[in-house]
Amino acid sequence: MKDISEMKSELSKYERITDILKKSRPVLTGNETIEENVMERIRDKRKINENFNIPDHLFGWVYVGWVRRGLIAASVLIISFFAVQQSMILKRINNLERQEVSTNPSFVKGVPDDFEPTLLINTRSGKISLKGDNLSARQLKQFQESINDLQARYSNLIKLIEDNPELKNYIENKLSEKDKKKFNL
Amino acid sequence: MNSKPLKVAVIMILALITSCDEPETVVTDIVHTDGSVTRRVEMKNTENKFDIHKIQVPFDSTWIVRDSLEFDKKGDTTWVKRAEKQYRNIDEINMSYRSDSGCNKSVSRRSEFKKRFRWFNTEYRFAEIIEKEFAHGYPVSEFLNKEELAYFFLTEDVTNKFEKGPDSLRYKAFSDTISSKTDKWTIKSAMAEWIGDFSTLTGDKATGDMTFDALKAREDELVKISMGNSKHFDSLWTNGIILKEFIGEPNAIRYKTEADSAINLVSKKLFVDFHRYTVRIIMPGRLIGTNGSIDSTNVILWPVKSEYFLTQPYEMWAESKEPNKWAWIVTGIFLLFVLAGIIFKSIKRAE
Repeated sequence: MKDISEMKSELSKYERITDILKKSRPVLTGNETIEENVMERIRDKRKINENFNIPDHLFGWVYVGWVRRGLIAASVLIISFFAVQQSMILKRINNLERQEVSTNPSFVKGVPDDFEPTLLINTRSGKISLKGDNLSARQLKQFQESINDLQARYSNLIKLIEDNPELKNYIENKLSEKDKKKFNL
Repeated sequence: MNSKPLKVAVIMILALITSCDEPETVVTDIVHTDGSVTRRVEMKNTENKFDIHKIQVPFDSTWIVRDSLEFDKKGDTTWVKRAEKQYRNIDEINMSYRSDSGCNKSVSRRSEFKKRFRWFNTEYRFAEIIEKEFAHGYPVSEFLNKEELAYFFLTEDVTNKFEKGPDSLRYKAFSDTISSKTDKWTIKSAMAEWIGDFSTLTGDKATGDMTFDALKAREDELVKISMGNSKHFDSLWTNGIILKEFIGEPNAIRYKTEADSAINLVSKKLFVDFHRYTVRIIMPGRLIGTNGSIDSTNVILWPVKSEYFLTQPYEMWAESKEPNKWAWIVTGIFLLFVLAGIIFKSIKRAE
């Protein structure tokens, strides 16, 4: 019984002490030092942010040996490839320039899109175009009709000559005589 | 035997080449970067006489045709027929060659297009190829030297310019030498082809002196006999005299049918039904290589004659390149970046 009453008094003593400790504030020594330390840490963080710049970040690879050497080697290879490729192309172009140039009349070179004949008649569409304005559209139409008419008559005439051997011989003789006169033979 | 004497045959080929009854025809292939090709055919004649079925390249109703009558400043009249078709790719062109029913259907032709990425540039190669007629003939390069070979493949206007120029005598002599050498080449190739065709026709029937190898070993003998009797080749062959001289009387009698069939085959190949024309190719970008003649507008052209593809394929090729601007920019930026890095490092080291 005695032990139980002793334990109760010790418990109440302990509770009183903890109450006193809870109510009492800690006594800070070296407030200024703590403040300084905090301020210094804040300043360091700002300093780190201020020191971050693009060139350092962009060219960070120059401090990594294998990256630096790799990029330099790649650059040298690219420049060499460019030099070889361009010199080969130049050599081939020079060889081409030494080749004979064909100076045939326009047709063998092909009629270019911008070919401008004095007069152009599209026989399929019947459209007529003229370089210059010496003839009116009416005159051109008459001209085209004349050509068509002449062609039709000419084809009839040729057929007539072909069908008649005597007439054919006569015309051939006359034509050869005319040619002889023309060339003073 | 239906063939003409060989010398006459060679002259006939040359005569066919310079024939002026047909309209002048130029086939222009405009090659695009995606491999599509715009093909233009331009036929020019002093008369309005065009047979569309005798056009030199495959032609069908999908072509756009335009006829015109043109008067030049001198007043000369020219009838021009122009036709154009867009081919989506080379396969379409090759398909049209395979189904060709035009005047040049007897020759085997094809086109090739290659596009190669070379970082700074993209290179393009376009070729028009006509397969050879003779399987056993000799390449003309074995008979002509480099200079003669270049002259042989020149366009007529260029050779005419030389032969009418200040050094005309030298060039005429040069041209005569080439003609004489090409005559020999034609005859030798024709005889080689005859041996080949004859051996194919006789097959296993031929033994001993009549095998391909035995006849091939005596090929020069046959060439000598043929050239020596070129004036009367036709009658001498018909009477079996040339054959008897070459393979002996018993063999000449035994193999007469095969020998005649073989010479007929050779004649058909030698006088292949072919209408000459001129090919022009316009490549994308800058031209860097070709085996054709270049005209004053930097367009390449080739004359197409049957003798060019008699014993070897006739390949008309052109190569061009186009710069890849984006690759130049990317490379420039990369090189500047590396250079700036090196400079940066040396500055830092100095600090």
